[in-house]
This record gives sequence, structure tokens and C-alpha cells, in this order.
Amino acid sequence: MTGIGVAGLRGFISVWLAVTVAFILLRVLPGDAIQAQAMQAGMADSIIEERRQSLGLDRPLVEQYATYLGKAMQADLGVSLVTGERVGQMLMSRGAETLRLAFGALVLSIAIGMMLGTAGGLSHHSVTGQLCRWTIDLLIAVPIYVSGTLAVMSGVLTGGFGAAVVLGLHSAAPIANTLSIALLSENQQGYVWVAYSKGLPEWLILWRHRVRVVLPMLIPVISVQVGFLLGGTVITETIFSRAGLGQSLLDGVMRRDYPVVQGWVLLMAACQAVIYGLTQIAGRWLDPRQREKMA
Amino acid sequence: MPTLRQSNAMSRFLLFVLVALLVGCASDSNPKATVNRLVYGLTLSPSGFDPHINQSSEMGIVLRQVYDTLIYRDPDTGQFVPGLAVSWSISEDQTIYTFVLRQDVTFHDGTRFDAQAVATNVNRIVSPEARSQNAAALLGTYDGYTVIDDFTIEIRLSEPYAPLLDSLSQFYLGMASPTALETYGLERYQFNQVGTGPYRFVEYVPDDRLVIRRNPDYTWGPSFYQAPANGVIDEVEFRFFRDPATRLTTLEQGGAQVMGEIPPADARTLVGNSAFQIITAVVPGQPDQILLNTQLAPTNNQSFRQALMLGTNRTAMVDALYQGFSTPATGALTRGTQFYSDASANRYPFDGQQARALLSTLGYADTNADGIWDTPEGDLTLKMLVPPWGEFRQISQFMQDQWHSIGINLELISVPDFSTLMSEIAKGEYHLVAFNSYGVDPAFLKTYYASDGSRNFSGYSSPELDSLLNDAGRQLDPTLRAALYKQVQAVIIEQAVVMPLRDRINLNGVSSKVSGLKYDAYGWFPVLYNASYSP
Amino acid sequence: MARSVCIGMLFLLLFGELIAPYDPLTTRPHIGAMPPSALFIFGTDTLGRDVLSRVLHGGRVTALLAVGAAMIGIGLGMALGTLRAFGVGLVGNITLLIELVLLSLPGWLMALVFVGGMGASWKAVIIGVGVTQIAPFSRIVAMTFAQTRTKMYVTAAEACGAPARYIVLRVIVPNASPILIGAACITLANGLLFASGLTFLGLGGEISSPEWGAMLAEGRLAIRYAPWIAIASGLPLVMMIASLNAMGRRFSLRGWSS
Repeated sequence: MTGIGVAGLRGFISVWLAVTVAFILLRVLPGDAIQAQAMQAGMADSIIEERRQSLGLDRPLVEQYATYLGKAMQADLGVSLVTGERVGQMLMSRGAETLRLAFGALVLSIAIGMMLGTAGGLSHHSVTGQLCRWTIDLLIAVPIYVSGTLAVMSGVLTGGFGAAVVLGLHSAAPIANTLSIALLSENQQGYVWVAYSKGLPEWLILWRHRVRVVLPMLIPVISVQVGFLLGGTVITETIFSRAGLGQSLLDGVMRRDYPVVQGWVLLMAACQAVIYGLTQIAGRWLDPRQREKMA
Repeated sequence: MPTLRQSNAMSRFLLFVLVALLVGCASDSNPKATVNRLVYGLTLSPSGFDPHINQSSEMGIVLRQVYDTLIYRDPDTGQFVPGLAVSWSISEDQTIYTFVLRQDVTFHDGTRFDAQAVATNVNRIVSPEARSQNAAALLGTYDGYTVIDDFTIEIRLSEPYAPLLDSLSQFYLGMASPTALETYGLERYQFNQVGTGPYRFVEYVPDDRLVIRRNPDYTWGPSFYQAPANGVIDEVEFRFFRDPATRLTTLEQGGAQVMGEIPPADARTLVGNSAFQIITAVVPGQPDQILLNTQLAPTNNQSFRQALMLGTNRTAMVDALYQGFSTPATGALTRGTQFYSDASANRYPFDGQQARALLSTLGYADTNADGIWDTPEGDLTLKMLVPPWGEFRQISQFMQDQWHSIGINLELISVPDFSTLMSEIAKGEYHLVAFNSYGVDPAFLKTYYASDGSRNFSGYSSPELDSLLNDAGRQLDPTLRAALYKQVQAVIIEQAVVMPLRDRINLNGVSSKVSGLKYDAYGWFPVLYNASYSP
Repeated sequence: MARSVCIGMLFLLLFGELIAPYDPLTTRPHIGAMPPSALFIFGTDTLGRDVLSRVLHGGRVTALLAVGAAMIGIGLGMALGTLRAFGVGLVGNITLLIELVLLSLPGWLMALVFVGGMGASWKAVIIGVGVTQIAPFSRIVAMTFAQTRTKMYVTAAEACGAPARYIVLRVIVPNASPILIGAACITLANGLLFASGLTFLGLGGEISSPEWGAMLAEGRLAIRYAPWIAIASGLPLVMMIASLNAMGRRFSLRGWSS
């Protein structure tokens, strides 16, 4: 089997596994969508049962699982138990908002992360380097709901713009962190001394030559951030009142809206598999040393 | 490897893209302000927005402007006034209601409003496919209709049902255009709603916004609908603000002109500020309250429950948490609710000593002198289910400390969401749970306190109370009804089935440029037709 | 500097409860939220409880939470990552699958399952948070081992004909250790952040016991009229996480120099 074939199979299996795990986890949670709605409205048990039947929730679990998988293979992710909206459509419209945010945040985080990380890679004697490292520590340490709230209170960083900035800063921190560590650690390498001996200022050396060398190390971090920006931004969405994927997932879980959550996990798992594949390709392309070892 | 020159260009390009994207992200919709437009902050995003199908009262804030109902309640007197129905009569045996409808009403899409339209709406609500979560239940013992002529319709009940008129004045039973209902069906209708109300439905983007626009042809409003002389609000955009911490800030920065559910302590900071006003409305119904489980020891003992009531300083707690914006509740109903009786208002004044005394007469002793009463299983411990909404997290911590001083351990069981709460309730292993409903007609008390009530989480069962509640639900004479509900409330308090906490009020922060904003008889829903906005 | 902060924290965590002036659970509703004063050095919260005492008591819970979650995340993550790095064929693939699956499930969904299933307790939060840290840590472990393998000293050892076990145990592991310890510090920090985020979403542990992350999430709601709550609980939390990160960096650096 070719490398791509294996990767494809692996991706497919990981998506299937993820959906299965989500299916099980959701059923472990107490209560289901109909019960929650019905009890809130004070409905009789007979009506609850009736509705559950009409949605197929009374069938044995294995049958529900098989039905779901069968439909999913035909790209039918079902309808929301709560709103009746088609899950595929719902995910797409929320996904559009999330993508907008994620893209802006990602670009910002890479830009800031690279700059801050490079400056943070300046050797131990440098004051700028030290300051930048402390800044990185601080950026990592402040919980996102604090920075988000402060941003909204400032009056300037609100709405989609504010959300992108806050997310961008939040994601920039781990990128900068990894970059600065990588740069500091490679200080001893031979090629670094060569550049220094040319008489170039330190920051120039860092920026022009060395960063390129350590780029492969940034790939895992960046891929984690991409994953986070696509699916883990529920807190930011709440604070900035954005209708994104994170919030639709939170609502789905709270309301026990199984098809929505399962569809979401399927989407995320597929994204993760794709991201992983891309990182593998990028990693090998950027670092010839790894190519042989990973054969 | 890219050359030096290339990487230079790359950095510059990157910066350009960065700036462009950030500017792009800043694009929130900003329509040109030639119309008088107001932003109204909602606080939770319901799972759907169809009044016939979904049950969140948050919908009503918007939909009350889009739909008319057959009857209205006057916000000041609480009396029923004509709406889409000019008059109505009730048969001798109280099972047939005949409504004579207005003849000058058209839906926003031009369809004529008539008896057939009413019939279409009712059919939709009670149809099993609609899976109505509230509207159908509001119709009570509904048993069918008869269209007498173009503008007269008869609603039949299988048994007398006193709250019917009240139900018909709620937005859940608002009249929608049969044409639109037919065109869009059950699922798409919520995105294309058509009513007869003072505002037309423009769009609904779930979790993002709703927009409504003034209906220039509106001439059939109830008596208390009066358009202002100037500053008429042409358009309203409703946005969702789920995070309570940023609501005040958003209001202050002009992100919204009206913001609902502002946390009381935040609202307090607005008091001296002339740019803003605080508009409150009493929400009739049940107060914020805690139900006591009468089926589980030791709360199955009436004296024990009464000791708990005596040992809780609810006044101090309400003052601390609600900053004077709410009054402590006194009974099973909020002060101001129809048929509210204050006969038992001071039944349980706070008295820790008396509470302890009562507990010791019940046989409890503190043998190991740790301050907590002992039982065969160890320290006397009660379990309370704490939901994340409201101020129950704070309230429960306060109670924990209070009850510690009367010798009781309170274990707080936090439930993260509604579904989990329902399953925990179903398990029955709790002594206290917070739950309540709102409404003008106290008929809902039946769901909480009748033996077969679907929300009887206290498990209280008494034939006496059952028959009182039954009779009150069928009795149409207000005086007789009042007497029945007075008894109901007295029994509930005497039996200490519920611990009332605070009368619910709807607390809104509003820009001072908005005037004439009032809330209707149900407390939650603004009458935007009468309000004016001068930016 | 990070070192002194950490030592200060340790001191607080161990002895904080002894120097707290008041009981952290005593409510004073007639006082409500008061700004810092001589009586209450960090002020009081909405229920009138002394913020300083709550912060001092909260340190221990916070630390236990962090350590507990980290142990799960690091322990299982280490196992998974090592298997992935050194396992061949099926083993390597299976562990990769497990990792990918863990990464596609939102962290708080897994946490919700534990909190919902076991009831909202610190135990449930620890397990929930710990589980979310497994995959990230395992990823770092696998990556670190893979990169260490490419180092010159490994190639040298292989050229000398050293047996595989020797190479792994005596060459790769000791060189990778500092990086892994550094990653462990960062995992500790992430765990704390995540736990605090859970409280924000309403999935926290026991309601009344003070814990910095929980206090911060709730202090945020009072930030307009009682900012001292958020500041008093946020500062130690932020400092703890920041210094954990700094220490983590120091450890990582020691490992890279070859």
C-alpha cells in the first residue's frame, strides 16, 4: 500500500472512531433531547414517549448507530433533534463564521508569534530577549476569558475584530514560546557562529537565517492552534457574541442534540486528519533529516 | 531556500495581508442610519423561534411585536381587552367560547385575517407533527372549533378551563398568516414569519440576530397601543448577549440601546448616570424559589421543613444579591401576580434560635459537639441540586453557611445543564431543588403542587390541595377563584413545601434616548410600538 | 526569577491555610462586596466572604487540581507517546489513531462526561482535565523522541554498534528528559487554564470550595463593581502559570544543547 493510501485509510478510521466515541459518550450523559424539552414545558409522559418514537430514539442503540453511520456515508448527517434544521447546513453556516474568525486569528497569531518568538530567541544577555520571554509567559498565562472580557470592556476590541485579535494573541503565545525555545537551544550550533563571525547584528541573524532552520519545529504547534481555532473557541464566541461552531457544539451537548454533536465531531475529526496529513508532508519537506528516519 | 530579497518581500506581503484581514474581520453589518433604528439585547438564544412550536419566553420579546392575539391584557389593570377579537362570549356550561373578530385586519403579506385563519393557526398548533412545546398545552382542554361565519369562530372545550382567555392573550397563540404557514411549512416558517402586528418580521439568523420593521398599515392595535408623537422606532435589531459580564459594557458603549437581564450589582452602577435609565417590570408567576422534597427524609417531616424556613435569613440574602432591585418573596406566588395572597407573608421570620430549638424537639442531638446534628449515618446532611442559571450558585453557598449555624450540613450538587438537572430530579436523591415558572394566571400551580403534576418535584401529595387546585382551574368567577387560590397558597406555605426566595423582576438597562418603554402584563415583553427613540 | 516565584507559591500552598485570618466560607450578607480595607486586606466578595482567606485556602485546591490532572495527562500521555515513537507498524498506527481521536473530541465534552457522570466534584474535574492533556503531551513525547533520534550522538551510537535497548535507555531518554520535563511543566500550566475555563462554562468542581481558577471565573462577573476579587485570584493564578512556563522553558533548553 502506498504511503498516501495508508494515510487515507488511517484518516478514515480515525474519523469513524471519533464519531463512535462521541456517539457513546453522548449516550452516557444523562437525559436526552426530548426529555429535556418536554419536562421544561411540563408535558405528559405519553407525549414524551410518542415524540421519542417518532425520532427513532427508542430503537436499540446498535440500530440507531448503524442507521446513523449508514446515512453519514451518504453525506446525510441528519437533522437537529431540537430545531429540525439539517445538520450539514447548520455546520456550514456556523462554519463560515468560525472560518472567518479562524483565518484572521491564525494570520495574526503566526505574524505576532514569529516576531515575538524571534525576539524571544535573543540570547540570555539581551534585555529585549528577556522582556519578550516574560511577555510570552504572560500571554500564555492569562486565561482567554479574562483577556476577552478586558477586550470588550476596552470598547475598541469588540465584535468579530476583537474576537480575532484576542484569539490571535492567545494562539501567538505557544507559537512564540516554541520558536524562542528552539532558537535559544540552537545557539550552540556551528552555523550560528559562522553568521556571528560575519559581524551581523544578532536580530538580523535570527530573522534571516536561523528562523528558517527551526521552522519545522513550529509545524506541530501551529497545527494544534489550527485545531483549536476551528473547534475550541466556545469561550471567545460567548464573550464576543459570535455565532460560531464552538457555541453550536456547546448548545448541542447541553440540549443533548445528538445529530448536531455527532456531525460536529465528524467534521472536526476529518479536519484533524487532514491537518495531521499536511503537517507530515510539511515536516518532511522542510526537514530532510527526518525523511529517512520516518521511512 | 528563498533569497534575502524574496524573504524581505515575503515579510512585507505578510504584513499587508495581516492588516487587510483584520480590517476585513471588523466588518459587522452596519446599515445606513436613515431609519430610526434600535438595537435590543436578548440574553439567551433559544433553540428555535416559532411561537407555536418552541417554548422559550425569550422569543416573546421579539414576537410580541410581530403577532397580534385575539385578546390582550392591559398592562396596567391586567384586565382582558379586545385584540383581534372585538368581543367574546362564554356558554353557560363554560365549554364554548365564541369570538367575534375584527374585519379590518390584514397580515403582513396581504392575506385577509378571518375565522378561517384562526382555524388554520389552531390546527397547526395542535397537530402532532408540530410537536408544540408550549402553545398546545396552553390550549388546555381544547376539543375543536367551529367556523360560524367569516368573522365568527367557536372554540370548544371538553371541560371548563379557566386559563383559556389568558392563554389566548399570550404570544404563543399569536395569529400567523395561513398563506405563509402553508408556504414554508413547519421548519422553515420560523425564518419567514408573517403576522398582523405593529412590526414586520424581516430576518432571523440563529444565534446572531433578528430584525423587525415597523408596519405602516397597522391600525388595529389594542386600546393601550399608542404610537408616540415623534421618535417612532422604525426598525429593531435584536442581538444575543449570552455573557452577563459584558452586557453592561455593551450598553454603555452603545452596542445596544436596551439590554435585558443586567446583573443587579452592575445595574446599581448605572443609578447616577444620566445617560442611562433602569427600567424594571415585575414578572408575575412564581418567585425564584427552592422546592423541598417531601418524599425523602428528613424533609418529609413538616416540622423539619419549617425549621429550615425559620433558619434562613432570606431578607439579608436578597438584599445582598439583588441590591434593592428585588424584594424577598413571601409565598408560592410573586407579589403582584393575579390572586396573590399575602396572608402567610410573615409566617417564617428569620430566627436561628427557634430553628435550632425546633430541630432538637424533633429528636436531634449533637453528641460529638462538632456543631452539626447527628444521625445514625453521621452528620445531618441535606442535598441540594444547584443549576448554573440565576444566582443559585451564590444563593446555595449562602444557605450552606447559614444552615451550618443551625447545625445542618448542606451538600451542593452542581448540575451543569438542564438535561442533567432533569435526570437528577428523576433519581429523587435530593432534598432541595430550584425550579419555577412565570405567568399571569396561577393555573400553573397545578403542575407543581397537584399529586399528578408534571413538575411536582417536591412530591407533595394531598387530596385537599388537589381538589382546591382542580376547582380553581375550572372556576371562572374571579372572586371565587381568588378565595380558592388564597387557600392553596396558605396550605403550601403552612406545609413549607417551598422556600420562596425573591420576587422576580425583569431588570433592563436602557439608554436615556429611549422613552416610553413599558413592559406588558407578563413582565417580560416590551411594548415597542409605544416607545420612542431619539438618537 | 521564575524560581523564586515558584518557591513563594510553594510556601503559600503549604502554609496558606494557617495564616488565613478568617474562615473562607463565612458569609456576611449585610456587608456584601467591600473594597480592600484594614479589616479585609483584599476586600470581600458578593457574599461578604474574605477574599484573602479564600485565596490562601484556594492555593491548595488549585495545586492539587493541577498536579492530579497533570499526573493523568503526563502518565498516560507518556505511555501513548512512547508507544507511538518506538512502536512499529500496527502499534504505531493504533496509538496514532487514539491520539487523533482524542484530539478531535472537544476537551470540555470529555470533561462534561466525567462531571455529569460522577457529579461535579474536584475528582471529576481532575480526571476530565487530565484526559484532555493526554493527547497533546503524547504528541510532544513522540515528536521529541523522533527528533532526538536524528541527533548526531544517536547516529554515532548506532555506528558503534550499540544495541537498540542501550541506545534508547542510555542515549535517547536522558537527552530527551529535560525537554519532556519542560513539557510537563507546560502541561501543568495548561491543565490549570483548562480547569478554569471549565468553571467559566459551568462545569467546575464543588461550588463553595475556593479555587483560584473558579474564583477568577466568578470574579469576572463582578468585575465592574468588585474588581478586587478577580485581581486577587487572578494574579496568583497567572503568576503560577507564567512561572511554570518559564521553568518549562529552562528545562527544555538544557536538553537541546548537543
